[in-house]
Amino acid sequence: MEIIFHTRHNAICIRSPRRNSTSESRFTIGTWILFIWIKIESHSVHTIYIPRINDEKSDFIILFNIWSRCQTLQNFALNFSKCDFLRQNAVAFLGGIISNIKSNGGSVSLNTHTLSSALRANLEQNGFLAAMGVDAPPWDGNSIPYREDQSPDYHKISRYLQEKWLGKGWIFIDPELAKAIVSNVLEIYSNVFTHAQSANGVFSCGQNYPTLEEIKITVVDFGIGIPQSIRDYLYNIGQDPKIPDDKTLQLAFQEGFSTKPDLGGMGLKLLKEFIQLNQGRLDIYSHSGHAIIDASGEHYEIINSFFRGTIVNISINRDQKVYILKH
Amino acid sequence: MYMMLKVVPITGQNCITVEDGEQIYKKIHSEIIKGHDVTLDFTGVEIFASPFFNTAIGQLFRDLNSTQINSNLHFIGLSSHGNHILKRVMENAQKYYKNSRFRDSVERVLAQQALDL
Repeated sequence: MEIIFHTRHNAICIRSPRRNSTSESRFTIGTWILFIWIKIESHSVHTIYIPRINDEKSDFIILFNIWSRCQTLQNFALNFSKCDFLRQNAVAFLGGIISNIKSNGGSVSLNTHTLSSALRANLEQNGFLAAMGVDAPPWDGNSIPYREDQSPDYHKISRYLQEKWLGKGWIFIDPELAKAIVSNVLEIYSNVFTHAQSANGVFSCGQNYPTLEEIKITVVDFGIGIPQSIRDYLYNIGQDPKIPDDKTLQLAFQEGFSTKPDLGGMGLKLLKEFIQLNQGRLDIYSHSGHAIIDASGEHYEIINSFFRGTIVNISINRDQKVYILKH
Repeated sequence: MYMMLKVVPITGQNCITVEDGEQIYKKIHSEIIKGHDVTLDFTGVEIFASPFFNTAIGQLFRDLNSTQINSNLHFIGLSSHGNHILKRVMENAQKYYKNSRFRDSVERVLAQQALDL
């Protein structure tokens, strides 16, 4: 193979000898610069600065922007120098992003030297750093540990929710009620494994907030999202699949609705009912749809952002006086 | 004929999955369809989720009517939350299998929403 520079054509050629002839591929200088830039760009490490992330709508949009950035590039370093706290939703979401990048052949490094001592303690305690391969064993505190579930082992997930979430003594709760709550949250995991087609499974993390009197837990998957699942179903039954993302979430909460061709469609309805009875709050983001379920009712909207998977954020009230399950 | 089926030896303490539900369904469906009485004993089961009940109980409504199911199938040892999910699943299944208009109505909502765009 020869590489030849043609001044007349202002081009660089690659000439490959064949048995009886020679083939020549000619590229202009501009094209070569573009090739080289793409090559460097795809292999260079991009630093993403993680800000402080809470669990308001604007915080979820920050997470979705990070996810969006990660769709086109391969190699990342996460820098935490501008971050003093990450809520459970951010921890679960970042864990999922990292897992996805790695399974797609990319690489992610955590700039652990940029972690503040408080943030490091938080990420150590909930097991996130250990899960990312950092030598920082988790310890017991106010966290519900970061967790990755690649397959539907409901017995393990059930134990996690019972022992690490409700069994920590953060709330004085009737054991029967605790089991009822666990059953409801398991419905979310069941929905992911049944509908989401998530190659990497489910990512979870939670946190006890004593001053807020709340316990929060986030479950996220990077599958096809609720809107796509519903549009596929509509297409398969011969209906027009053009339905806005917020309406698809509304359908997902409609009793009896299921995208599976058999009996189903109870999971989200039961969870909604429970959250409303207990004056908690449930947020679901999927594609550009956002569902908010709380004691005042249910609200669906379109947000100015996009995330292909589904993230569920649950806040339950620690106040035993309002924490009653009505049958 | 009477059948008493303890659920814990089959599913363990969690009645969550479709697979566990299917095991129960296979054991009780043939009995109830023959008109035999079946009692499911949930003593010792702690966690319940709708995929289990949809499969174990809900799909009985496919070829049995609610009168047959209610008179031949009995439940004991069920926690109040388990009972709550079971009740909702049975209501849903009854609508799903016995009233095709229920399912059609969901599809009509979809069609209307698509037209509204």
